[in-house]
Amino acid sequence: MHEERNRQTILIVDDSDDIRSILAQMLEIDGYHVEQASDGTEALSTAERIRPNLILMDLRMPMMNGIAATRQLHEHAETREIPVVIVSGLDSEMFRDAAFSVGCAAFLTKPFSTHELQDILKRLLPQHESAPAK
Amino acid sequence: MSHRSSSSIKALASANLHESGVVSSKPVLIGRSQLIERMRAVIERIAHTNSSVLITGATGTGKEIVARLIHAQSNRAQEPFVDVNCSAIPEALFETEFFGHERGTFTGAHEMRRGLFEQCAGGTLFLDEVDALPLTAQAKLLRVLQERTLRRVGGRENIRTDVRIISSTNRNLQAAIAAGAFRPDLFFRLRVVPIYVPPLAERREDVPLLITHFLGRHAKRTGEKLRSFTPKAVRVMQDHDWAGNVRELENAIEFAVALGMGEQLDVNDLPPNLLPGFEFETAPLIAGSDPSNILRSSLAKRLPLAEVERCYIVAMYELHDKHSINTAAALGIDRRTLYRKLKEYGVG
Repeated sequence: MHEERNRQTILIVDDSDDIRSILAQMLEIDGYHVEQASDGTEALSTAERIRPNLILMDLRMPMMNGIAATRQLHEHAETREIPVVIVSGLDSEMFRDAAFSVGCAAFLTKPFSTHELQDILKRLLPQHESAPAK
Repeated sequence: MSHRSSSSIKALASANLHESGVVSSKPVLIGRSQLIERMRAVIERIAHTNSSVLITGATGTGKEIVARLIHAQSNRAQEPFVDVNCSAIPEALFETEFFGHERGTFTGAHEMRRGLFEQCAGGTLFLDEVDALPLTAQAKLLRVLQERTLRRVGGRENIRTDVRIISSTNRNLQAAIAAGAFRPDLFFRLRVVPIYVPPLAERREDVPLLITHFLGRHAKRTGEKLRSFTPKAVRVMQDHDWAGNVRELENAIEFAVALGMGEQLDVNDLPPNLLPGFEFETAPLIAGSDPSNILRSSLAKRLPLAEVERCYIVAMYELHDKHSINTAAALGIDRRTLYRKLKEYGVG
């Protein structure tokens, strides 16, 4: 069993309820605490409020796309250290370059396996704090 | 192969929209600036001649469109337009590609094959990146242009050629001549009519027209509703330097229409490097640490080598769970060197 205070929080940002729900289930099984936002603008306010350990950010969303939101997160001292993983159905050099240029930590293309996501989380989150569920 | 036939050109040309929005069957130059109007006048004046044209200009300025436009306005418009990227043709294959070969000339030559000159007989041969031709190929090309006849590899017959040559380069050919990399006699033969395509930054007033053009073309290709940009986004695009010229603008619009979901696209929908005050982020390279992404990001960010090295070493150290022996082995450096570098970076 893991202690609630040790759980790492991941903010899932996606305009699709289904994708958010699937990702949330995957992450909760692995012992993470999950928060959700449905567009880039909501992501900014939620990130500032809850200061997640990591953000999984969709690329194409209403109000504000994932790259613009990542750029704004990195412009604010309070949120600039939070690693952002862009999760995208659109895969091209153009989007990858733009994502890395605004400071995203990794670019994950849909569809992806649980294993790929776990690898990225392992790499980006300090392991001594993680407490996977049994 | 690196050349495209006229069938693909027709498809491309038919996808173009005229400035007025009417579908045109010809390639079009978008712009009303003085520089473009002047270039348009030169093209109209020389299109009907058979003179060789050398098109110069930075990458992404639209040199190929100028070549297609000259062909489309010439008496050769109904004949083939063959476009060949000279940098993609290996030196050993130059002769067979350009002049063809006879049957049985070499192993594998089961049939006679016509080269590019014969394939576009009566038409226009567009030599893109002509500066990439090696000196031996330049000599062979010059001879054919001077004599207006060619011989297929392994052939004995002189075949008359009737091809108009349009070439392009984004390099300074005079400098290449001075360096001994380009033949001056070929240069003068290719540059009977010189046309300089200006960079987009020299004709900013054309940016709104180009935006309308690319948005219209995207809507037509995808069947999506025609969208527009907010005046603020248009201003940002007009103020941008466009080092990649029209091609960069075209990509920026593709980016915005792919990511923006509103009917009117705004500044936030544009690629981030267009925004005023944009600076490439560096911190996540260290914190984010995926060694495989470091080279890509570093190139995009134009990072100094020392910074790339630092990011890469730290990332590899993290990847190997801070195991110094494994990290040093993976990096192919001595463990003491790794210690020293980690100490320099303040990583323990």
